[in-house]
Amino acid sequence: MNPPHNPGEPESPLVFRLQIALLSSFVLFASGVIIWVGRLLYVSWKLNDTFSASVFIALIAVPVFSLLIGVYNYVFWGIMRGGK
Amino acid sequence: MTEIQKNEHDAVLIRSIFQTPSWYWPAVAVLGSLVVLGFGAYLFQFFLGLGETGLNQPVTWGFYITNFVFFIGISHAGTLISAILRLSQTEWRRPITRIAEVITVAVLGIGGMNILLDLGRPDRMLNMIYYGRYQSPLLWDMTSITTYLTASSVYLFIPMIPDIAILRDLCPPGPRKVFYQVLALGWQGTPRQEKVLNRATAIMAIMVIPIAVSVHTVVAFVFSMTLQPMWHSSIFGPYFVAGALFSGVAMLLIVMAILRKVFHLEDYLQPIHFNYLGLLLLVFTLFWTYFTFAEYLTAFYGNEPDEMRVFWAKWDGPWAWGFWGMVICNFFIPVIILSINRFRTITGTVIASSTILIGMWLERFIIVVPTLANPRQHRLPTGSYWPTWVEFSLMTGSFALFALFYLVFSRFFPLVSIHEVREGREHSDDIALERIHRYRIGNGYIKE
Amino acid sequence: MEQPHGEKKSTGHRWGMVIDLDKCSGCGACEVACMVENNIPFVEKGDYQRSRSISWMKVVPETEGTFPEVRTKFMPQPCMQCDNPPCTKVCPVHATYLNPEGIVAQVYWRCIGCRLCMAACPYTVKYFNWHNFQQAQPAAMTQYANPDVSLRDKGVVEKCTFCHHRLMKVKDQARLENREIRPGEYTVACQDNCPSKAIFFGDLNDPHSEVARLADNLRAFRLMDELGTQPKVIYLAERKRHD
Repeated sequence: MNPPHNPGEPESPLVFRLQIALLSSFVLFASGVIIWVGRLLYVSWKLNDTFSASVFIALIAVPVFSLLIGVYNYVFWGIMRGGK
Repeated sequence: MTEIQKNEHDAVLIRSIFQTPSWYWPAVAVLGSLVVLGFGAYLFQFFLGLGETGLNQPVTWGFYITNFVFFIGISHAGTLISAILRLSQTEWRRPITRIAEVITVAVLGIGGMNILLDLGRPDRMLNMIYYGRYQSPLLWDMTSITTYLTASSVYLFIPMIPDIAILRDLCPPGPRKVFYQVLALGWQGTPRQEKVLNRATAIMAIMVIPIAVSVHTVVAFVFSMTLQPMWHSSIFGPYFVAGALFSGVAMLLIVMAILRKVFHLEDYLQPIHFNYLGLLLLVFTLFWTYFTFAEYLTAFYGNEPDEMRVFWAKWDGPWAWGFWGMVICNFFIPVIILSINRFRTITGTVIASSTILIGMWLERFIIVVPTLANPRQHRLPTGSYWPTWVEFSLMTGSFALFALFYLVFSRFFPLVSIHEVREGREHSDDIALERIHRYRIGNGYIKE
Repeated sequence: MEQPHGEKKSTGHRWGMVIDLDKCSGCGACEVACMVENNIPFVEKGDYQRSRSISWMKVVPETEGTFPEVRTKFMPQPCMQCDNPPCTKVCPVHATYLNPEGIVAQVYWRCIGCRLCMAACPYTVKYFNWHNFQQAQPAAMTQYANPDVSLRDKGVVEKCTFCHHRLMKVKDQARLENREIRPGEYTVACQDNCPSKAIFFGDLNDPHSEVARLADNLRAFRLMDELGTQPKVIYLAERKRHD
């Protein structure tokens, strides 16, 4: 009842554009979080308000979100380019 | 013909996506109206002020914070359990992982929402972003929960790509097909794609575990960083994590039992899964009991007057119903059911899980409220707290939202990972044999 | 030296209060004076019954002994204005902080109403606007509100500020006259209105001030001193009575 999928069938440019939009919205979100953490770091330095705590948290949060961006890109490009 | 249609087993996983079950819309209607009721209650509270709740001067936190801790705790069911089972290559994990991960994503959002319900000025919520300061445990929560939600969404999405590809191939042309095409990322199952997928899943599984532990630790830190009696305790971080795992597995069992019935997943979720998870639950029961014992004995033996006022309020004071309810629901009933092989059936584990969910909710409540009601400032009258309809509606709404999220998810994606189940069906014998050969003594297996 | 929570110990003024419990008669004039001075709203009956009334200064009675050998003591409790305040540490948005002169400030317009500072305060002296209490006031009350003190909207935390607006006025005056603030120039409403003169107020950093002298008194103690919050409200214990 369903048309069999033809692996060679090219997907429409719309699909690719949406995929790029998906990827970039994730990257934007995650880099937004990194920028946010950076801003809090700056504010705490400026106000002399436990800069040490902010540094400690930033040291964890920033690499984690960078890694998330990395993994997401790896999956995205790895799978999109890994087809036949 | 695609593989799915050849294989009758997996057809049941697809059926609920392309055919609406008869109960679906009535269920959505009921849950939707509960959510709308909750939303109405929230509007009421938003315009009239938090005074519409039962909160008051010493007891400034109540149901919302309890629900926040409870839901964040439930979230540990998912990603953490799934990651641990994946990394330890537990063979029976295959039909469970997806169900667990969806719980996490759904419940984390609801938990975060509950803390927003508690704000006196939700309109100034963005101050947290603009003026946030990392000395406050609330900012730790915010960062940690955002991280966990992002990571577990990615962790839910990545292993789902092959399944989305199956749906893409089955779906008739239309917007829905485009939706699947976009998410499938052109998956064709080539060896290179498989390699990318497996590697990314493994990285995420490793990453998600410390994040999950951090989430519930910092939730506990909101309490333990204050100086208040029975909150200011170094055990709180691990205690909350243990409790989170405990309630999480209980929620997972209940969700599994429900999905098994309504989506006819009997072949996938078998009594053996309930049996194994029941054993895991038994371990967590004992862990939780041990932590609770350690926590309360330390307070009791120290006999510090401020701590003791809270202690007695829980032991035989106004909150004794909650405390003893918690002990019965979290220890006596589950231990009796789960330690007897004959009772560790599907029904048995579901009963035990239900009492555990009630018990763990009471535990959160009994941590939040009695301490606030008996502050160090003992010259003031003792506080009391009873929620109004606003809190009850928002709590019902929170639970309804969780169920609704699950229902909507089930309309778009398979609840059991087809890819993983198929992989298990085809390769698990070899994988298991190879693994056994690797450590069987006198097998002549020598690692080069 | 940096304090554990990153706020500088003040070098200039350090405002503090001394309350002589021997002189306090428990009349409650300080409460009333505070409410009038700081535009503290009355709450409606329902809110009162749910114990949501706001009283920055609160005369807390404590009854000792059993009938008929009973004695009631009174202890007026404003915000303790800790030098190491547990409430400012936990604020997520910098809405409550220790200012350089030692006053724990609350920014009503930034507070998001999470109430973590209330939960963290061991003295339970922070109050929340559960409803829009100002709206429920009789018109005459709002008409005569103190123009120096902002009215609080619903959903924010408020607390005793040592009548900070008075300090602002005194400072302005001193600046105009190009001089330092004189000792005793800055007073607070509860102190002014105490009929038995039980409340003293001044600069703890000034060794000649009355509060600094009284703070060294053998009867001086601070509430929950063992928590290390270093309150700047100092009590003078009652002497033994021979009735």
